[in-house]
Amino acid sequence: MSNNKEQIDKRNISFWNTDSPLTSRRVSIILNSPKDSKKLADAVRALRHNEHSTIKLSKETKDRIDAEAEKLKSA
Amino acid sequence: MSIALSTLVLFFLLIPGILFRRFYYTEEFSREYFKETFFAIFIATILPSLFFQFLWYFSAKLVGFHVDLYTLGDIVSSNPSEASFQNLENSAVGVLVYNLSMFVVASFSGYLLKRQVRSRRWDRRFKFFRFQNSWHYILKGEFFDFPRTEIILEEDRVEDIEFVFIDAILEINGNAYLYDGILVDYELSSDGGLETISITNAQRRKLFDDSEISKNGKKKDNSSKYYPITGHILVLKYAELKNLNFTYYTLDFDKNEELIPRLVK
Repeated sequence: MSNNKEQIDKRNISFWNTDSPLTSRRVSIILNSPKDSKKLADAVRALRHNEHSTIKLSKETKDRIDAEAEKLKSA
Repeated sequence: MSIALSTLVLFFLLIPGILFRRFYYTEEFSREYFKETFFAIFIATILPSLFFQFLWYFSAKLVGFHVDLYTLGDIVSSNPSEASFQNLENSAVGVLVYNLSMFVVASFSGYLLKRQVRSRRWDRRFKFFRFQNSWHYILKGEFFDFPRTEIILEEDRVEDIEFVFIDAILEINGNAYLYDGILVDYELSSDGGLETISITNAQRRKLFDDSEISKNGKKKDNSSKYYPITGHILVLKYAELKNLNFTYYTLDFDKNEELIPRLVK
């Protein structure tokens, strides 16, 4: 999976985009998938109980994140 | 002086300030335009109006365009002369271009200044530029950048916040419930307050089903006490909430290249 820390995982603002979204593009893609969205919320809840819980994303979501990261990189 | 005509002229002179202000408060801060008192709006309009009127008056002179203030004064006087109206009619195109160009530049100036203030983060660094929409700064975590804030992000930046997790207490039929979920949207009311918040992957439990804390300080699992709420989003009315808890998260990769949520710090 792409680890592009420049864009996909940021809520950057710029001169032409001053209203940052509530979620990063990466999280927005995760939230679009009901299964992965639940995994994210469950991972947060586990973290709150001091448990280590990773999010194993579905292939579709991974591919969408990678495609979006590429798109942002080339933009 | 004719009161109706002088009011009209005064309004006309204030148009650059009105446009400047209208275009400054756009998008996420558009409700702020209507929020202030009439007096505050009047004052906030006069200053930019004076600026643009002076700028255009002297700039017009520099390019050889004469602005006849005597004609303007005569028109709003109690006995305007026919010559003044004749003069205005003869220079109608020039007057139109003069004012329209001023209106366009005032509008663009407001629009561009707001973008400059936001993109340079001046509204977070300087209270003078801060917008009154305090919920915006809380919900997006931008308050971390306020100079007076006691919580500072040492490792991360506000831009690293990837999502916000909400806990909200709501009272239904005398029972207090704790709702939690990922924040996906919010609506502001007409007075600039919070109207609703929307969360996804919500679940709820009764407030008295709190986790017990073990002797070593760890929370005991109380996940069985939660009731998952199916659906895309759950909209909570702010007026019905007792309090709200915001937690700001980013995502890291663990050694297996899998994502793991982490509090911003």
